[in-house]
Amino acid sequence: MSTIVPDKKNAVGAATGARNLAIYLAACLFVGFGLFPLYMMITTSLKTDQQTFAWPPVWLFTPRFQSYYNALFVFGGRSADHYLFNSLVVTLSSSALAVFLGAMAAYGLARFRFRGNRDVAFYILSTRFAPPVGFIVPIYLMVQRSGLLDTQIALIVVYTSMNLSFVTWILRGFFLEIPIEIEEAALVDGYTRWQIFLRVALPLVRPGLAATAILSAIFSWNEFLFASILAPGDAATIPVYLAGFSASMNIDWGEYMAVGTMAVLPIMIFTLALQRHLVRGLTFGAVR
Amino acid sequence: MAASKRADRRTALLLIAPAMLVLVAINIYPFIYALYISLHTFTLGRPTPPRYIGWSNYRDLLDDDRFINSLWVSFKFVAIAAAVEFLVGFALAFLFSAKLRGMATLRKLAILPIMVMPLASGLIWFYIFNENFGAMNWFAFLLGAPHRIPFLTDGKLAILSLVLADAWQWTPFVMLVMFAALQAIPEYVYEAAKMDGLTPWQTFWRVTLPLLRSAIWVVLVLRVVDAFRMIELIYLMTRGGPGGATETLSWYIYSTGFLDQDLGSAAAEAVVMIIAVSIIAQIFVRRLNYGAAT
Amino acid sequence: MAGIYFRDIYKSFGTSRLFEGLSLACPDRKYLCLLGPSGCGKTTLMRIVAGLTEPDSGEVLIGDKRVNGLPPASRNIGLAFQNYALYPHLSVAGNLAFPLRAPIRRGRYRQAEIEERVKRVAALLRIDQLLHRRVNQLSGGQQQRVALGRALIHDPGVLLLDEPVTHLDARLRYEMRAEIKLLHDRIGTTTIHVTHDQQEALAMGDLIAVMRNGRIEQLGAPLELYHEPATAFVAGFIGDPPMSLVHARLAQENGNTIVQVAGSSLSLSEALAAQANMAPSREIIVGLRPKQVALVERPEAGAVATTVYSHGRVGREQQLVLTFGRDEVHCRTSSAIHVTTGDKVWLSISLDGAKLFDAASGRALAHT
Repeated sequence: MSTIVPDKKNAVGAATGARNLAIYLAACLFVGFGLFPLYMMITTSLKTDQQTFAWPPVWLFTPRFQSYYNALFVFGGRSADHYLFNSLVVTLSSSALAVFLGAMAAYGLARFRFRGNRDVAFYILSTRFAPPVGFIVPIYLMVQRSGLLDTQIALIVVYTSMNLSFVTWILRGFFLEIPIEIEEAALVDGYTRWQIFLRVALPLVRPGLAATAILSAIFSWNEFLFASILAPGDAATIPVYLAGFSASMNIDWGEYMAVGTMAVLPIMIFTLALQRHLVRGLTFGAVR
Repeated sequence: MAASKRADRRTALLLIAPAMLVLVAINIYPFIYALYISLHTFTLGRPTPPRYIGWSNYRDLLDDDRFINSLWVSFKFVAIAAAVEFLVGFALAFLFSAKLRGMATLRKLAILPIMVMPLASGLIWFYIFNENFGAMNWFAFLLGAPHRIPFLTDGKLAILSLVLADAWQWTPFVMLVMFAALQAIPEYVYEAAKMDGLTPWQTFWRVTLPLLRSAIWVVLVLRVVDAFRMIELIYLMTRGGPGGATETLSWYIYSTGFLDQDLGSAAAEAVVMIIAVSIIAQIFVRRLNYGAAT
Repeated sequence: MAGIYFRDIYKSFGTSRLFEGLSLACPDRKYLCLLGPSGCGKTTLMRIVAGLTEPDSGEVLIGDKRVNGLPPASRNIGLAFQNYALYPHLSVAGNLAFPLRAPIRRGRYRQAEIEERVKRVAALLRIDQLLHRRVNQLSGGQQQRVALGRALIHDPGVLLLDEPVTHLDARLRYEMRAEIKLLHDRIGTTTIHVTHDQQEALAMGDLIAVMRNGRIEQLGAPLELYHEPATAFVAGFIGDPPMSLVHARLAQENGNTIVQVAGSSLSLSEALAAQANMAPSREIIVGLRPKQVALVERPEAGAVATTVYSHGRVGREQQLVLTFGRDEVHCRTSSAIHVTTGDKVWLSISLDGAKLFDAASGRALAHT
């Protein structure tokens, strides 16, 4: 049971060696399981059709980039880059909005006493649990009425609201960690509350802003349900475009996986950048 | 810091109002709107205006076998997926806590699936589970399976295949959070336990587990709620099939509303779902009092 | 430059009342120490001057200007916080210039003047070598100087210091005390200095206000507080060691007023007897300086039996704390005398120079 208590340094020698080997094996097995599907995606995007459908599966082959070329340049009508760009616009706008509005709300909740403060805070947190599919019908009708179907604006507003709950909660925690005296000092030094928010508080929670911005970006980038209903056509984001492949009878797996790879890899890079605050973000500050 | 209370209250209002406005528009108003729609017949794309029919959409749900089935399927999926992800993830958190060289790198690699676009992970697993050329069947063949296994077209297997794909993405999440929670326990706690003569097993039950309580709680609720709302894997891998075996409540609402275009019924189902999730969320908010400091 | 005046201040926090009609004056150019144990309201009082806390009622004046309701920035004050509260995202120079760049002073200082002032204040506080450092790279003492500089840079009419040297180690603390005092002598800004350390207050204040439970126990010059404590609380708070406070009873013996302490009878000098006759009741508290008590080897007249509670050597002397009844007495003896905790020893008490207080109110029995 030596792994029950982390970092327990027990008996030296052969027993430890065997134990460490077992730990390495188990860890590598799990990592392998985690990476295998990604490996499949990337390799399939580099295979020919023949290699894709081969039985037994082909493990060693010469990669070719034809699928990427097809996805980006040759495909009839819109190509993947159009939808990647849509995704980028929606992601950046909604993340920026969510972080700014969320930071304002978080600061208001962290620094001002007023009746109902806790209720507002908990309400905002509880929207994290709202099932998107439960809201899709009314939101679809609202968007349709306002003539915003298949526009990026509709997605930006919906994603902003989706991201607000955790942005607000995480940043509220960050603001609470600023010693109140620093802000009082600025008050004495001649700054208004709004200026203190902009010039003292915000710079001090920069790591929190970065973490929430990246998390918002990931959620917006990955969101599928609202995108598929609210922006099915020209304004579609990359997951909607990706889903379109599966509807056709003869799936071009190479191209499919090439688009998938392009949709997934940027986020992987983000993930590595964000390690430090990832947990805090994913659990809205409950675990650090 | 209370210079002038009225000015403070105004500043607070101005700070919070924009966010609240967005939430009212995209959260509160739609819920009320859903209630309204659920009391009407409402078919997408038909020119006839919605007609008020009272509670019949809800009454119909009680007689709707597909709805009852979807509740059962949702329950099965959530229970199995959350249990597997939690238990395996928790165990792995201990495994990855081992202070060995290279462990940090392995950990970073292990959490990569969390960030994969759920739709893309559906795509990949759809490919891997393919009956004719998928890697899963190749492994099954290597392990001595006599024939191709219909991972996605057999009723019993399909839901387990979904669980596997879901667990692939979210077990690392459980691992990551529980790992962080474990790291947050200071070393001296274990030293004290050792001084008090506790066995490792006792230390786990009496010291580690109680200290992890709030983390466990957060992870469980997040996994339950998110598994409940999951739709992307179903969209790509099974579309609710075969024969409704993977038709969860989420998928049922989606297909009632946007495949059958019956918005009135879909809204009624949505209201039921929102209330169910709200109850879970409320328990969570009540139990977890970490926001006490305002 | 301006004096600071509190008039009939009331302040409650929730249901607990802190100030009930507090009044206090700090004349122009004086250095006032607010001294008291934690929770006595000294920091709250300072925050009321700063405008960070508003009183429920009562007036606060800076100079002849009523400042109630004015935002902190409009009160022309400088405030150095206990934990320094420097802006961690700015350099030393950025911190010093921050008040000058405030919107409320927009247009008052040109860039060149800001730079010049920063240089001047940095030179004054000897941090001119550090201007480009990040504040989290500074030592505690250096951070303290930056905080002081930031409070002084716009030439405030009033300087507020909240426990300014508490977080420094002992040597630096003495050094900074002297420097702050020197600075005050040089610039003469009216200063309120909040501290819980009576030595610090005695060393630095022109005036000291001893506070307890939201009330001013005594306002006076350091020596006045030391020699003529107005209440038993002040007597027991000031001095190192402070006066020992011993509960006693007044009685008459042969027409003379005497004091009964723990079964012994002590006679009073004429002056003290006159004071004792002013006592509203028989129950009094006697304040004794260490030099008024001495260990004796055997019971004698005027000696009381005590128990050693603690003992510690300080050079050639040792300090003893002795208990009898519910009282503690501080006593100094030669290190040569060997005692251990729990020993019974005899203590002779001389009432010459003792202070008498009414036991119920704690007030000093007045001279007539």
